[in-house]
Amino acid sequence: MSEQVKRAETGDGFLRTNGWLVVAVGSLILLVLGLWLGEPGKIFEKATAICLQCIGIG
Amino acid sequence: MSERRTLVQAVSTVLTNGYIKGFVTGNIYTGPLKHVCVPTLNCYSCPGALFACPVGAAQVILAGGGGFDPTAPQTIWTKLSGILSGTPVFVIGLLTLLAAFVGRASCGWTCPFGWVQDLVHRIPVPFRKRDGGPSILYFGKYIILAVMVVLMPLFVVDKFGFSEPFFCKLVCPAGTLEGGMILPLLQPDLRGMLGRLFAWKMAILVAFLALMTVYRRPFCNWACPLGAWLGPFNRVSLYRLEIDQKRCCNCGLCTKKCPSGLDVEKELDSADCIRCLECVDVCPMKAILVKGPGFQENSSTAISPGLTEERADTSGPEGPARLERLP
Repeated sequence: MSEQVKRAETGDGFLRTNGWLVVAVGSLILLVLGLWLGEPGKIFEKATAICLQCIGIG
Repeated sequence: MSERRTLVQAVSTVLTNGYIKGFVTGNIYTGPLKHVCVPTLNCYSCPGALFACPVGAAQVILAGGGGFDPTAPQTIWTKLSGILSGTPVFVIGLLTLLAAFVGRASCGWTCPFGWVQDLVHRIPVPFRKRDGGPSILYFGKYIILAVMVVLMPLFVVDKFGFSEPFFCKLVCPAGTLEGGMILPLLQPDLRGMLGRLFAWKMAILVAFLALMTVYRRPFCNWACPLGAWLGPFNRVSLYRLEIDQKRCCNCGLCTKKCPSGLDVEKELDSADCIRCLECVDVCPMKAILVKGPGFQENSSTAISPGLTEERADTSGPEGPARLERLP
């Protein structure tokens, strides 16, 4: 039955089939790197103070 | 599907903006959940916001000047570490990890501002369109991502090397709706600070609200930098949509239903698809399939009851006028 399924996009190559895995591994590396660099702390610092200009005040 | 999606959108909006105390006191949440971004456009200056907004977070990290110190001893490692600390790698990693699995589904199912657009579009107006508007406008979101979210925070800097979150400041209607409008109501001191910037941002919000009544999801389609980042991963994500051409009767119902205004048969995994699955639900022949773990690759019993051997006749100007049995 599977050959009846035509892909909307052409191309059944490696990236089409396993692209999600490549992207997932790459993003996991970035995620860990960000944690190691303390990025959540920077996000926390900014997200816990109201930025008035950012919301159009001031 | 529509009702189920509306329910998920409502629950998601409540969960991500569940700091009720903030709506009473006018003070935003400052707890540990704000270390993390949600994969939706949800202003962290909203009194109820429990999480950070990825677009806002990315901009403030890019705008912060990074950790690159030209006076420090220069090794490859210190240079790399400095550059990386000024790059929102955590935010990019978080968003991209989600996109690797479900593409842009968070736009269709969990974004509070996406829900607002869906709700506003239900208002009956005389000029309501079925499509998503002029196709050239769809490029707008990529330009906004590149220019306002990345380039301007990096290069438009003050004498100390710091910049501003330009998209939040000059464009984001979600921030105006969730923070800019609510905070002055709760904090009287802020009302005296409302000026030209507020008027500009209100004008943008009102313009998009008006457009939402006519077009489907104009902000998502034309201007959302988050959608611009997540969209291209639709083509490679683990869960994808496919059309069984043997079942497709070209009735066009999927295209009529698509909130992104896509020609579904041709643009199924387009970067503009928000994975709402309305097309899957509306297809009378069940020709559009979700592909991925947990979903059958192709089900012979999936066609709607009573339509197993039938095909829609699309010869009429209004689309499927009748159903006839195949020989």
